Amino acid sequence: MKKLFLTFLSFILLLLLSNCSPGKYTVSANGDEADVELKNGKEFSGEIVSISDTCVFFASLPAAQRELSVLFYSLKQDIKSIKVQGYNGSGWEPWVLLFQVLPAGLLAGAAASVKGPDAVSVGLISAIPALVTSILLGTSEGDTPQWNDGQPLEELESLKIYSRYPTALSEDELNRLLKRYNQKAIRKYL
Amino acid sequence: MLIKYFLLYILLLILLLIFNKCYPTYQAARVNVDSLKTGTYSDIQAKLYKSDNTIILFPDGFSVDNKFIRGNGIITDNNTYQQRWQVIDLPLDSITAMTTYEETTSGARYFGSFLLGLTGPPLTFLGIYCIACPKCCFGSCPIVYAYNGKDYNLEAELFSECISKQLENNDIDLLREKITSDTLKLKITNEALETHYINKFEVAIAAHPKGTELYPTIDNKLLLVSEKVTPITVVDKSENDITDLLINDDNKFYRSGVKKISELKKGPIFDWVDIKIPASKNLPTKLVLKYRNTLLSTTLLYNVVLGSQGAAGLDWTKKMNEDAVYASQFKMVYDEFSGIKIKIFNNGSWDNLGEFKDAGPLNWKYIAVNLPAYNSDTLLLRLEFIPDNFMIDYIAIDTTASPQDIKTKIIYPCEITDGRGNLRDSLLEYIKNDDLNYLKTEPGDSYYLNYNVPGKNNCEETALIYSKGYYNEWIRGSWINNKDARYTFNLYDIQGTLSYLADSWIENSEILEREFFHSRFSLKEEK
Repeated sequence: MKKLFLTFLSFILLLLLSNCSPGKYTVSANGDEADVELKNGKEFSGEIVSISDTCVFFASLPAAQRELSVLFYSLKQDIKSIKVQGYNGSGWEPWVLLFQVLPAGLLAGAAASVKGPDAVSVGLISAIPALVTSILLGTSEGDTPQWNDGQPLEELESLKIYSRYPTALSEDELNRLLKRYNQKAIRKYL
Repeated sequence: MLIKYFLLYILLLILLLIFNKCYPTYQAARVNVDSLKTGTYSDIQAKLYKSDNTIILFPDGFSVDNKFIRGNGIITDNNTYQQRWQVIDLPLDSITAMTTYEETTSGARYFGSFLLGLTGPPLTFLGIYCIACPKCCFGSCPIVYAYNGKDYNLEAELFSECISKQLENNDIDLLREKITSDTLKLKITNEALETHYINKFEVAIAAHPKGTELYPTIDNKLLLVSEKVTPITVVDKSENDITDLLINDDNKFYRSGVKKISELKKGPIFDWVDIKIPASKNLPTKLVLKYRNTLLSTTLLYNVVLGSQGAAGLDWTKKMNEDAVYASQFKMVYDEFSGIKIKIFNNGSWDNLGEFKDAGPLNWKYIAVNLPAYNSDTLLLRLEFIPDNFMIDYIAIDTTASPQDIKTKIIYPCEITDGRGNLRDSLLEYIKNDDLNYLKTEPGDSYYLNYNVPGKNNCEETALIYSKGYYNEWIRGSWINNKDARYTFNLYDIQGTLSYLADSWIENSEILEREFFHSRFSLKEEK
């Protein structure tokens, strides 16, 4: 039983190591997702559809497949910051907390409850993997493509590469999009 | 129970398989199509835009040949937005823009993800297992717990060095739980893969003057300490000053470290700490030591003595139980290398004063020694032990001649129940006296013993456990399957044994510790 268990464990670990695909960036016909903060304090996440001379077009991200996406825009001058997601390899923190920090806490709690081994030492030792993982992942994050209102407005153009239509959105294309999104006109985000 | 945890672990691993990510990093770059050289191939993901805004994706890379870009790609229909896979062969001059998405994940990031994947599942499993059954992870030997009104807290490990019938011996343990009511509730458990034979389990209530503390001594007597002072200096074998480490009862301890044990390969070498203590001229001095074993002794028994013999370990256990001569020879050798030897520097040489016996690896033990009177106001003591066999937390001295006014009374349980709640008062006959009746316990067994404590009269009361018995280790399947062909335990090959112990400890101490935790057994109790 123990051998079977160890074989199974080794197999699973190998699978885990080779199974990086869920976190992999997959090129898509859509633009990249961005976190946007407006100068009026409002925040939203949306797909960057296009960046024109005066505004940025976004598509909302439906929470469920059946939900309809909405096409909207924000004036460039109203935007405080845009951060493009999917490039810097973030999102590891909850997993480290769940699978390394929390188990270390459980072990310390278990040790404390029987007043056997020094619970603090047990907790600290079992938290070492979390510490090393956090240092490794924390110090190796990639650059987040972003813009904020501290930079010249022209530099917002550098984010065009992350939009669905990086060249420009023609009148014809915009009309086709509105038809697809079941909208008569493009709305401004308030 | 094991199957239950096994299934839980599988479930956990599947969840991890679904959710675990490697957190790669990427960089998007605009590509000048004119710069693409013919005869080149790239496995980088790419997105292309034609002049009519048709979007073409190359998720698996592309090649460039004869001013054409080729590959398995996805075309998005400009009107219906439908996507379809097809082999794409596109003239370069029809492309208005091209973006590549290159993975830039560093080695550190890969290693971080690897570490998360590697340690996450076992840590999570271990954490859940241990919090569900803390005693299964941190239990050992016959273990005694005392009830403090809310929980049963670990108080003592009984006769941890008595590994066979022939090595059966007395033990004395102090209960740190103060007696505050007229009842005392104890629990005795077997949480290891061992069979325990408890000959005697007696609780004594010792009444002593207020302001004094009671400790068992190295020769199973009792000693009162009234004014504890700290040692003058404590230095280790390398002459490092470790006084500050050992003057407080704070679970911060001295330990030789795994490195020092490699010295054992050269021969029977000991580690030590030298203690300079104050003394009253021509009066006995009392020393209190708080200590416990590392898992080295457990390793000696599990891996070196039993594990190295494979299936023959069963015969060895039988021999240790029945062959008094062999068992006494084993004890003689074991005694030579176990425990903490107490020596005093007197007239230019080190005199032996006795030893602190092995305490077990789980519970701190407080043991006192009454040092003989010397015509000096300072004494130099040496505590000597096999490297990395002990953790020493606290040393205290009492130089006063406090009266040894101790009155002890044995009390017997008014009720005994087993872990499932069944009344088992008849078991008292088995544990009452040092006789031929033994209470035999198997892994998972537990018993609750409730006592009525007599009222106290203006004095301190301390509970003690006088126990006698032994235990037999179970032979693990892995010891038989994975027998090391290089070494088999031989009592008379001391150097070989020490050398194998050192190698085993240096190479596998962490794994052995994990094995030890995994071999804990859950109690058969009503929830």
